[in-house]
This record gives sequence, C-alpha cells and structure tokens, in this order.
Amino acid sequence: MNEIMKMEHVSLAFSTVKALDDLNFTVQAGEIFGFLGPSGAGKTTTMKLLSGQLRQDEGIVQVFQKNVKNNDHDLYAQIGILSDNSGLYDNLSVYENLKLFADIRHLKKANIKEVLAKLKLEGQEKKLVKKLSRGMRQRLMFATVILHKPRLLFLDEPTSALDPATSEAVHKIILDLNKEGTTIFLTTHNMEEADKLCDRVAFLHQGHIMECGNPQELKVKYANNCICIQTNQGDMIQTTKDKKELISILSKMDNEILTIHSVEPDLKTIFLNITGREL
Amino acid sequence: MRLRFYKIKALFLKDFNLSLKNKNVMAMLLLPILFGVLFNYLLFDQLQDHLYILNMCQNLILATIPLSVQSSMIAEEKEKNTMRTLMLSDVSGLEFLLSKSLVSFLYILVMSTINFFLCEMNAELLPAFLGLSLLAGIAIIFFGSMVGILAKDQASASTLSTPFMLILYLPAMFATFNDIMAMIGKCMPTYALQLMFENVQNNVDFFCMDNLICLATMLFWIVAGIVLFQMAYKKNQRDN
Repeated sequence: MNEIMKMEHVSLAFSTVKALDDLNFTVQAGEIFGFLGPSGAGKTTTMKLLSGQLRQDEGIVQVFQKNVKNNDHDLYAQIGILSDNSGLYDNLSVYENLKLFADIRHLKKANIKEVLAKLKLEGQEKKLVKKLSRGMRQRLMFATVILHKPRLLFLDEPTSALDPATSEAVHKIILDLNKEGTTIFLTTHNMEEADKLCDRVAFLHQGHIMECGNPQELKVKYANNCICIQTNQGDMIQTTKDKKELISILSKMDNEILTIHSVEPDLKTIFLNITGREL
Repeated sequence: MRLRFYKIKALFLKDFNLSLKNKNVMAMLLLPILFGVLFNYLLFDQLQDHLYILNMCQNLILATIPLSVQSSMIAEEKEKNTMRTLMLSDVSGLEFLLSKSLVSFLYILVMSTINFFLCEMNAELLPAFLGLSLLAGIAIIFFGSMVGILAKDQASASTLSTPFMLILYLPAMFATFNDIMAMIGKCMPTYALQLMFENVQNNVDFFCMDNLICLATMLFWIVAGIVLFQMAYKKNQRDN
C-alpha cells in the first residue's frame, strides 16, 4: 500500500499550551484510520494541520507525499473535509447546494446524479435544506464532500449528535466509500464506531499519541489473560489462560459448558488503561 | 490568491440568489428607496435643484450597500459555517470576496439608477453618475468586507457597520452647513462623489484639481480598506 499521509515529530502550541506533542504516524492508501481521544485531546487540531488549515510549529506534515502548505488549494482539489463546523445553505434546495459545489469544482451534472443515488437523496432534490431532517442533512453534507470523488476524506466526528439509526446509515456510507478506494481519516471519541469502521486507530491523549495499531491486535495486546466459562445453569466462571488451571477447573465442573471464550478488552477499556481517564 | 472565473460565476449566482432571500439585505436595499420617495415627496417642489435630494439618497445607498449589505452577506456565511465549507472546497479568499462585491456593485447600480430617475435628473448624465457611484462603492466595499469578517453573525455585523455608516453619511450630508463639516466631508468618498458629479453637471474638465483631490480621497479609502481588510482577514484566520 502507498503512504498517503504522514506526520513526523509534529508539535504545535497555542501560546503556552502545547496542543500536539511529537506526533508520529502514517496513513496508507485505502485505509480507514481512526484518530481517537476525548474532547480537547487534539484530534481536530491534527486534522486542521493535515488539511492545511493550521501550520505546525515543528515537524513534517505530508499528504500525497507533499508538504502541506497553509490554505493549500491544490490539496483541497483532491480531498474532502467534513467537520462539525461544515455548513450548508439552508435557503437553497438540496439540488441547488449540490449544483453550487459541483460548479465550484467544475464538475458535470452527472456527478450530482451519481451522489444523489449513492446517498439515497433521490426525490429530495427540490426540498429546502432547512426542511431536511438531521440524518438527511448529514447525507447531503457527505454528498457535497464526495462530489469530486476525493482520494482522501477527512471526517471529524461525523456521527456526533446523530441518533443510532442515522449513525448506522452514516457508517454504511463510510464503509461504501472506503470500498470504492477512498482513504478515510476519521476523528471520533466513539470507540464502538472506531472498532467497527477502522483498519487502524491511534489513541490521542493531551496532544500525544499513546498507542497506534489495528483494533483487533490492540485488544489482544491488552487482553488481561482471562478466560470466561458459562454453564448451562447460568454460572459464570473466570480463570486465567494457564493450561493447568483451566483443565483443573473444567474437570471439576458438574454442569455442562455453554460457552468458553477469552475476555478481550474493548477499545474504551484499553484507552482507560493507557491514559488513566475515560472518554 | 487564485482567481477563477467559473468559481466566481457560481458564487455570484449563489450570493445573488441568497441575498434576495435575506431579510436584512432586503431591508437595507429598501431603506434608500423609501427615503428617496419620502425626500422627493417632502422637498421636491421646494428645491430648484434636485441634486440635493439625489445626494442625500445616494449617500444613504453608499452607506448601506457596500457597508451593511456586504458585511451582512459575509457575516451570514460565517454564522452558518458555509464560509469555512467554501474555503475547504478550493475557493480562495479573493474569489469569495469578489463574488460578494459583485452582488453589492450590482445593487449599487440598480439603486443608483432608481434614485437618479426618482430625482428626475438628466438621463444623459446617468453613465457618469453610475461610474462615479461605482468608484465610491469600491472605496467603501473593503470596509464593509472588513466588518463582515470581524463580525460573528449578522446581528453583530449590523452593530459594527452602524458607526461606519454614520461617518460616511452625515459629514457628506451636512458638508454645506459649515466649514468644519465641509472639511470632514472632503475626506469621505461619499462627498467626493457629490463634488465630482457636480463638476460633471457643470461640464468642468474631469482632470481639474478638485476632481483629482476627490480621486485621491477615493484612492486613499481603497488602499486603507485593502490594508485593514487584510489585517482583519489574517486575524480571523489565526483565531479560527
């Protein structure tokens, strides 16, 4: 896989407060990379650096093997950015909004039709944006940022404040886009979402990356060596992965075993273990 | 900064469409027309020269459109987070500013024409009047843009633009009342427009000293406006 994004020893301070401290990571083409952390950890700041909205004090920030410049218009032509600060024109219709962004990017009308179908917005074209539901609005936001088929998509908390059903729909959109080859940089504090969507995640805490890797591998790495046995009587017995101890327990059991499985921590627990604080 | 015609065209059409749906903008556009009708109704028969009414209304047009309408349009984009979305969609600051300014200039031309005919001026002088009005509009538009960039929303844009409106409107309106007001008025692009149009009416050579001073005043406002706008734009970028 090609390296699409890179941060090397990146630091940034706002006056005396250090927002990011020696960040190092790479994102490969075709990945969904999750940047996880609580509010104020530096997720959005990192995204702003990668998209040229901010400039680092130290280090190298590269996207598509090129150093990111401030307000990098060549970069904006190739990426899509959806943040909680993104806005739509409430007094324009769905179609007018899409047409505006298509015209700005010098795209054909076929692109509008394509995204309307892809994001299931067909039949809503004439509706004013201010009359759309929150879920529909989010779909339209997605539509505006993928109109030009970006190679790289930055998503900043795309499901925050959405209901579970709408979040589920957004997850499907993200996975579909990724299947089509779009690399996705996702910031979120929702660990379940990251677990479900991301190929790799990085835990950010107080501007510092504490851990980075595949969610499944991280779960194994931070597993507490624990086995859980459930009997058909409803009893739950926890033991270690020690072979002798396990055999000894199993041999003493009178009831039939219903399930036996290792206990792995979820990403939320891993984050808590590493940082000592909850999200 | 980049300047691409197709982007400006798309933005201009959007800005014009949205300005027609913006109640603040509509109120600001109606104001000079309402005053124009009122002044004409009250003063038309009492004044031999209708230039005074024309100037009063034109000052109002120049105090409202490039300042209030322009700042309101920019502040609306900030308020609704659409300005950031545009900037991240490969729209340069200059393209954003130019499309809004073109809408303001269009309104200046339309309102100035209505004002011109309400005051029953000589139609032959209309091109000169519109050209000079546009020049005065350019001199003020950067201040309106600066207010829009500094304001958080439309309400604060309206509050911030009011002192500027009074500065542009009052000295030019009362310049004939006393020397001090005349002196202050000479520093305003609104009064410069009045003096230059009077000279056009009186067939004075365009490059006479009076006109050159007026042009210098407008040029000063343009340069000062660009400098202040850039400072506000950079500050806004840093804060956000």
